[in-house]
Amino acid sequence: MLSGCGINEVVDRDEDVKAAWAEVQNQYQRRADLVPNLVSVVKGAANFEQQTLTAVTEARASVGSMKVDASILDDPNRFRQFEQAQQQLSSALSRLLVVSENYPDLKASAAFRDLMVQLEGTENRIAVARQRFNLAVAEYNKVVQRFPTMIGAMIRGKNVRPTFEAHTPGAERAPEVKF
Amino acid sequence: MTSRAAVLALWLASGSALALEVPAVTRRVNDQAGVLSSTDQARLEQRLADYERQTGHQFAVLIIPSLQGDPLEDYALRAAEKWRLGDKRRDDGLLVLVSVQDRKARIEVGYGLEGAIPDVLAGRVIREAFAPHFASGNYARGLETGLELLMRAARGENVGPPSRGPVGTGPPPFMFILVLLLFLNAFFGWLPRLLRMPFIGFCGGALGWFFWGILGAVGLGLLGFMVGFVRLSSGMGFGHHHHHHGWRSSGWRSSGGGFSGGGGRFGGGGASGGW
Repeated sequence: MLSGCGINEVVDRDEDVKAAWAEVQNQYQRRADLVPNLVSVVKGAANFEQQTLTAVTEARASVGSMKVDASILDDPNRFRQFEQAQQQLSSALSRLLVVSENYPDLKASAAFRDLMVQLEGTENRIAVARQRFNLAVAEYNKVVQRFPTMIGAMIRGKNVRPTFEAHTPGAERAPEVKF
Repeated sequence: MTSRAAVLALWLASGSALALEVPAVTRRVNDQAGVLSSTDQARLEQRLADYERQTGHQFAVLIIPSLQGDPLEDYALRAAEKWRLGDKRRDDGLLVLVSVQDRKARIEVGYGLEGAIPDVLAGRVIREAFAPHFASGNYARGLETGLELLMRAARGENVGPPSRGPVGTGPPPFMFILVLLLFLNAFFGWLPRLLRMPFIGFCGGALGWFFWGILGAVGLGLLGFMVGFVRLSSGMGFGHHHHHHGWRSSGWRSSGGGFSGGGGRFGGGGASGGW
């Protein structure tokens, strides 16, 4: 029977992966959308370290310039580039959070506090979305690699896909650095 | 299927091998730490039950003595996923997690309520309603104040009608039924014998196209012609069953006295805080 060869199953798993990818993108987009607000609030603080702000703005720009349609799923190189760009934004943001420790007035402001809550929430969603994406890809890769479902996958022209680097839970969140 | 077991397996594999277990849900207000009096517990329980009756939104509380080293966010999400709070179509569940010794709390917001209860609001509820009361040991008062704010925020949220019956069991598409009926008719019945072969072939092709695109159309079409030919030559039928497993019913929402989640999903929305 054809359905035993995974010809349908590979489609189902493919859709799961695409849905999980859409969620990952949404959450990264959500974070990118927060950045301009964050930058403008931080700029308001007297003498805020310019270098840190520039790094965030640049990382935000490079994330924004990437094309991330679903075809990236089948292109490990672009996938890694995407992840690196997002990682850069993560680092720039956590650097900004560390530096902001030196500006008590900024930290005490309601606008900054609310932005921190939003940023935390977004990082948490990103972590969840990445994990679910990896699970979906793992299921998909099984279908693509195992017999007999690999037959259906071959007929459909589906190949193994990359996952995000494994992170321990919580590693996505901004590290707490104390001076 | 991205099963819940797979989710659990990932959690286990990802370093939290000794992850703290989430208790089974039996009621809306679960106090594992024993910080609520039984009257407070019953009052909160009643309040949340009334609210669920009015709005359909499923709110629950879990108070644990300690996270035992687990990250707050991970544990909260696991609890929310295990309890499956909220309607399965509206995803309108909400979990308040309090860890007494860690002095931490989290409000985990279901997908469907993320608009009504944005992270900033959840954060404010923790900071301004939970934290001051929790700090002085008055957990009941803190929860009551905070939950009222959250319930009010979510009350106006129109997130679509509640699901009736299992999700994903929409009627099979009209075309499919029509073709299937024609197929069965041609197979068992009234068509003149000479018409049967092309007809069954055609219907087989249509069914194949329906399920598997062009390739399936050719495959099943040929199969149909062959079946038609066999039928034509021998006049004998044989059973040929196709199981399509797309329309599954997975609904479970227990009735009776206990409390159980409605299948709502969570995506990590909400806020955390301490006191």
